[in-house]
Amino acid sequence: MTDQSPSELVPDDAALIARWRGGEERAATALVDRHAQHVARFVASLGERDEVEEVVQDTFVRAFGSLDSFRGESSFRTWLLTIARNLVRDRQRGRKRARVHVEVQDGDLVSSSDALEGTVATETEQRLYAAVETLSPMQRSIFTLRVTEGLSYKEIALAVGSTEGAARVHYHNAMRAIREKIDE
Amino acid sequence: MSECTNGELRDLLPELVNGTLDAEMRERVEAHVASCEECTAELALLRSLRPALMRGPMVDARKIAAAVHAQTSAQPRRDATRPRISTPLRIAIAAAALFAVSAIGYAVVRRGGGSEKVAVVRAGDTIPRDVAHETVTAPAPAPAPVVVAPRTSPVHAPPQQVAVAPPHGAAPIAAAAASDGALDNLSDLSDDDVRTLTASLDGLSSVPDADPSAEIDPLGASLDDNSAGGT
Repeated sequence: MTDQSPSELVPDDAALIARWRGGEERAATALVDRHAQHVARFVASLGERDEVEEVVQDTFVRAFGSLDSFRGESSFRTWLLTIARNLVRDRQRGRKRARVHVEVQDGDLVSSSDALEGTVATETEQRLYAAVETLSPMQRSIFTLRVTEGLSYKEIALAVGSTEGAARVHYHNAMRAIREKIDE
Repeated sequence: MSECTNGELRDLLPELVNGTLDAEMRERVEAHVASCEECTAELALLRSLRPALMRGPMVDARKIAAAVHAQTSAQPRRDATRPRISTPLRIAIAAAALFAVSAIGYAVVRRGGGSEKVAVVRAGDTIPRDVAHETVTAPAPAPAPVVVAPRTSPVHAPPQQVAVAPPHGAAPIAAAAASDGALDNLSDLSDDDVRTLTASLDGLSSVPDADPSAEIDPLGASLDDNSAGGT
């Protein structure tokens, strides 16, 4: 039996990227497995509900298509989140250009929110999730990244295209809003 | 409920929930939480919220990976057959190539003509009377193949059938004979006229190709027009 270091057993993102660049396609699969769900949660937190998987797929396709431009200044996940955020923003702008009526958008949000609530197990969780849903997209995305992904404010700022200080303020405002909503 | 007075440690509650703190820092945060009502409540809320937020939408990672493979496996084939060069870059490369060709041509002509220091005359060409006589004010460059002769061999020719081609530098002008013609009156040019002619010829930005092809005739014509603009 050969000795293997932990990094060989569970290669980190940089190692997987190097393997993929070396022609190992399975490395890309491993990276998708590792990050797809995180990207999906972030995409949903930005208000993109109906086409989450499509956005996530586009995110990975674009990421691997331009992996040469990834210099490792941020984590691979943060880079993916940045691409996802840009894709969501482009879609939202496209919808605005298409003159989608405001009432229709509101209706979509309600239905998608209902669908998501159906995936939440308990009544308590549904109440908590409903409180999160009252946040603005910026607050919601930052709060989600902080609580579920454990990203630092610096990483969050990179992902959402803001500043570290603004991310901190958004997080604490979100926390206050959720507590007030729950205490109602 | 008392408010938290340690914002630094309170800021680390999400890391505590996510289990990303090292042992020392985790102990510090937990000790603070134990003595802070607000952080206790906030930590409880975070621990309740996280499972709800973690559920989120489910995506098919295998399908996404397949799409990535399909895209990236096609990309090298495309790169191998057609390198990605943007249109502005292509234009820049074309401009650089054109400039290089022009510069090389200019250098070749200058080198070839510099040693002789001659005036060039071609038989059959016409020359304005003021050029043939003393009132030379502008060059009449000849873009076509030329016949050169040492400046020490002036030959007389009828004034209407000779032209003076540009010499370079401060070389003295001499008349050059065409195969069947001779110069007339060029030897009468004064030193001032020679200097004027030389200076104006030196002002030319480029020298026409010694053997211009048909493709560059329009450009050559425009250059001639420009160079003649001062007359």
